[in-house]
Amino acid sequence: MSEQYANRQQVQAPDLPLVIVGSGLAGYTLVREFRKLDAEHPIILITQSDGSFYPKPQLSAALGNQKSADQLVMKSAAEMADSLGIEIRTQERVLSIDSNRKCLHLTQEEIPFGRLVLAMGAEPRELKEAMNAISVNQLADYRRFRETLTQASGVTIIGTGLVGCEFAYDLARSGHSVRLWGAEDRILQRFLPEEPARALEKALEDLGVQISTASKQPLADVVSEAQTANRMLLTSIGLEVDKRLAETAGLRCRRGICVDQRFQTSVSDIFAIGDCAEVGNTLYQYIQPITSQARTLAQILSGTDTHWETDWWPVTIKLPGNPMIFMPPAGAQGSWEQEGSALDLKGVFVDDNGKASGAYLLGQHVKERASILALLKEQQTA
Amino acid sequence: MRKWQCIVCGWIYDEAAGVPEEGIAPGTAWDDIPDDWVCPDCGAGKDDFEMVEVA
Ligand SMILES: Cc1cc2nc3c(=O)[nH]c(=O)nc-3n(C[C@H](O)[C@H](O)[C@H](O)COP(=O)(O)OP(=O)(O)OC[C@H]3O[C@@H](n4cnc5c(N)ncnc54)[C@H](O)[C@@H]3O)c2cc1C
Ligand SMILES: [Zn+2]
Repeated sequence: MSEQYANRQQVQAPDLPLVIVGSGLAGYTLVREFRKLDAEHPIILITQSDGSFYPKPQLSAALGNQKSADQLVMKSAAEMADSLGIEIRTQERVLSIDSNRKCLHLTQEEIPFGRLVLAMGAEPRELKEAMNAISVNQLADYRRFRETLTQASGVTIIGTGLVGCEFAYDLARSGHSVRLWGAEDRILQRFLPEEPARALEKALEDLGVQISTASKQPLADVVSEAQTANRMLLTSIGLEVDKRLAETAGLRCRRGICVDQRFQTSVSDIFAIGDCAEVGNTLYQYIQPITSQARTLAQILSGTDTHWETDWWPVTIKLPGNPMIFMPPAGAQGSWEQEGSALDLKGVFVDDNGKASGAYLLGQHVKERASILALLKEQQTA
Repeated sequence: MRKWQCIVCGWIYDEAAGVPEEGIAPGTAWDDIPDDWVCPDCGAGKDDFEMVEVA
């Protein structure tokens, strides 16, 4: 994380508003945190959605929890605007950013900004083979998913990452017929070694989920079978940042919008956080790092000289055994030290230098969260 | 027994259930949870525990 964009200017409160694009976790957490530090500065938040605040991780557990899209809403845009003392423009898409004149273009209007924060999230990757499949990444998608579900004979899920597996579980526990197909040989391949992945596969199969992989059945067959049998096709094959808006504004992008540890993009006074931001080569598309980014950026925008450092961010997966993953070792050489059996497993990844550099906990072992976190932190700095 | 929802991420604390895996026994009232406790899902602190009563 060595990139440092633009000159770090004295951050003073200019008269022009702080403008935020996006009403997801990143945008709203930033506003909430900023308001704790500065109750006055004008803020305009622009969103192409209806601006409802809802907990996105619940989308893949809401069916089993018997929650409709409306019941997931914690606050409407009007309530958010009121409680935070900001102006919110809903159903408005930012069409372009003029970074020289420091303004944004909406369909009918131009909005000047003092500083701008892009918290635009990322879009579900589309599957060429099934263009009209459903992906659930926003509240409106969940609404459509629930509507389609009433007409479908079952659900075929493409993608065995966190979200695909969570939907498989949620649908199966709600009594739906579920098929789960993945390109990789086992579920959650990026996150877990063989043993816990197989234990979770078994837990899903016990609930009636039929799991298959590319090596057993080609994708085209799975798709056509779903179509003939009137099954809903649900895809969750990862996210892609839509970089067009940022790129036309001259912001440097790679997989996401590139920012330094102060969330500064390559253009001064424009910042990015959340699913759309690439911080020093990494995208952090989980709630813990995103809320942490929002807290840090709120401080920076209100004048504190600070920066963000990444940390261990345990991710809890909504599956049997409550699997908890501590950043899987990315490309590191080493081996897993594992203990336990069935859904009570624990594994620590020990790299070739003898340092613990990743872990997972399942079932009973979830209790060890705090001690594993301490171990990982200690070994990282040792 | 009440339930509280973390307004940052939607995680629900159910006083009846507690969080045994984090050493919070079933039946622990929200007020009796230590001040340095954080939301297990998003890390929001208890002092800014913007929790809302859901039931
Ligand atoms: C089903 C599911 C389950 C998940 N479960 C977990 C979990 O258990 N744990 C975990 O840590 N993470 C989980 N995640 C990931 C986590 O929810 C996301 O990383 C996080 O919510 C992203 O927040 P965000 O604000 O960056 O993006 P988003 O919530 O996508 O918000 C982006 C906002 O930008 C707006 N926008 C975009 N472009 C424009 C434009 N041009 N003009 C105006 N507005 C625009 C959109 O309307 C939206 O309001 C899950 C994600 C999904 C989909
Ligand atoms: Zn939370």
